[in-house]
Order: sequence, then C-alpha cells, then structure tokens
Amino acid sequence: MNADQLFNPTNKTQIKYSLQWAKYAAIVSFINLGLGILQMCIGLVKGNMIGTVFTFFLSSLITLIMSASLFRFAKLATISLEASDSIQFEKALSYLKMYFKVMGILFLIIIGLLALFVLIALLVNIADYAGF
Amino acid sequence: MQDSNKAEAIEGFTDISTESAKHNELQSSGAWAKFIGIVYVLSAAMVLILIVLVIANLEMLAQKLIVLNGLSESTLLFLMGAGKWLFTFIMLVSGSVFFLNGFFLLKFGNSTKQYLASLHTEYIAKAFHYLGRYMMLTAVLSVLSTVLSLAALLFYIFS
Repeated sequence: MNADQLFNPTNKTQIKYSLQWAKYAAIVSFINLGLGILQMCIGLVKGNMIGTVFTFFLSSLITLIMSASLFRFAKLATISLEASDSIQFEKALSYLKMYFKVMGILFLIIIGLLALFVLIALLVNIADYAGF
Repeated sequence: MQDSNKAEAIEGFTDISTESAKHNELQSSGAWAKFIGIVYVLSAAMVLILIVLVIANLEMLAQKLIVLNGLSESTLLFLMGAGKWLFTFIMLVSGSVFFLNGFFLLKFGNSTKQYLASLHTEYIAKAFHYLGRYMMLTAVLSVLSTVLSLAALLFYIFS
C-alpha cells in the first residue's frame, strides 16, 4: 500500500479526527501533571515528605511518558498527513505503540497485584478454617 | 542506466522496509489495544457483579459496618435507602465508562488486524474512527479528572 492509498480523503478525515482528540487528551494530561506538581509542593509543605515524593514521581513519570507519546503521535501523524509522508506516519505509529505498551504493562502489574491479593486472602482464609 | 536501476532498487527496498515497519507498529499497537480492551470489558463485568452482590447482601454489609465503624441510625437509613441507589448509579457509570473504553479499543484492535490481513484501506479508516472515539472519551475523562484535582487542590489549600 503506497502513501496515496493510505492517505485517501476518507482515511485522512478519520485519522485527523482521532489525532485531534489525541492531542486534546495529551494536553489535558499535561495540565493534570502540572496540577500534580502543585499538589506535591503543597504536600511537601504540609506533611508526609517521603510518601508524597514517591507517589508523585511514580504517577507523574507514567503520566509523562504516556502523554508525551500521545502528543508526539498526534504531532508526527499530523505532519505526515499534511505532507503525505509515509515514513513520518510510521514514526507516529511507533509512539502510539509506546502509549498502548506502557498502559498494557501498567494493567499487567495491576492484574498481578490483584491476583497476589486474592491469593493471600485465600491462604489467610484457608489457614483460618484449618485452625492455624 | 545501471545507477538509475540501483537507485530504483534502493527506493523499492526502502518502501518495502517502511511498509513492513509500519505494519509491525500497527500490529503491535492493535495487539496491546486489544489486551487493554479485554481488561476493560472484564472490569465492566466485574463492576456489574459487584453491584449485584452488594445490593443482595446490603443488610449484612450494613451490620458489619455498624460493628466496625459504629454507624448512626441516620447513616444506616441513608445506606439502606438513597445511598443504595447512589452507589448503584456511580458504579453503573463507572462500569459504562470501562465498557465503552474496552469496546472502542477492541474495535480498534480488530480493525487493525483485519487491515493487516486484507490490506484494504477501509479498515484503516474504521480503526482510526474507533481510536478517535477512544481518544475523545479519554480527553473527556481527563478534563473531569483535572476539574476534580483542581477542586481537591483548592480544598487542600483553604482547609
């Protein structure tokens, strides 16, 4: 499939539609990140320093990677649409892949933790019934 | 003549490698999106099960809460009346959001898979249509999250 086929008017409209919303989502995520920094500053002034810094770094790092990937995807794909450049579009898709990959790994970690909690709860209950 | 053939061959090779790289990226994005979509749909199903279980065992849960937290009679009445429906409403909204996210991602994943199998460009349009819907939902949810964060921040500052 060449660039002309890929960037036909129907595809262009749909791709532009998703890029527009991807850009909005990324920008709002950046604003959320800014608010997170503010929250951390206030948390540092008001109370628990280690807990606040650890939670902030973990959550903001994930948010930063995801929103930066989404923003780069939207930006590069827009450039590729305007220039009908297939190489730029491939680069844009790699950022979309990164966005979904980070999210997928996050989901895998959450599922793993949930499974661990369920296993611990089951073991505790079994031990309780067995009279240990 | 030989040089131009060489240049054409290199150009052709670049086209093929770009095409293959593009397909790889799309395939990988689609696979991850499908996995995330399945997790979202399963989460929606779990939320529905949770609603049914909580409603069915509300009296027992309220008794446990009384023992643990020492609930007042008015709180208990709220829990058994409007509280029950408020909980159901909030959980239904959460479940719907999970389901919609999962649905759009699954559709995106399936459309990319169909495109890679057939190379028909209409599947690309379909895939990006669903990706756009997912991004729209993500943007709206992010705006809501920002508003709530801002409210929490203001509350934290002034309390």
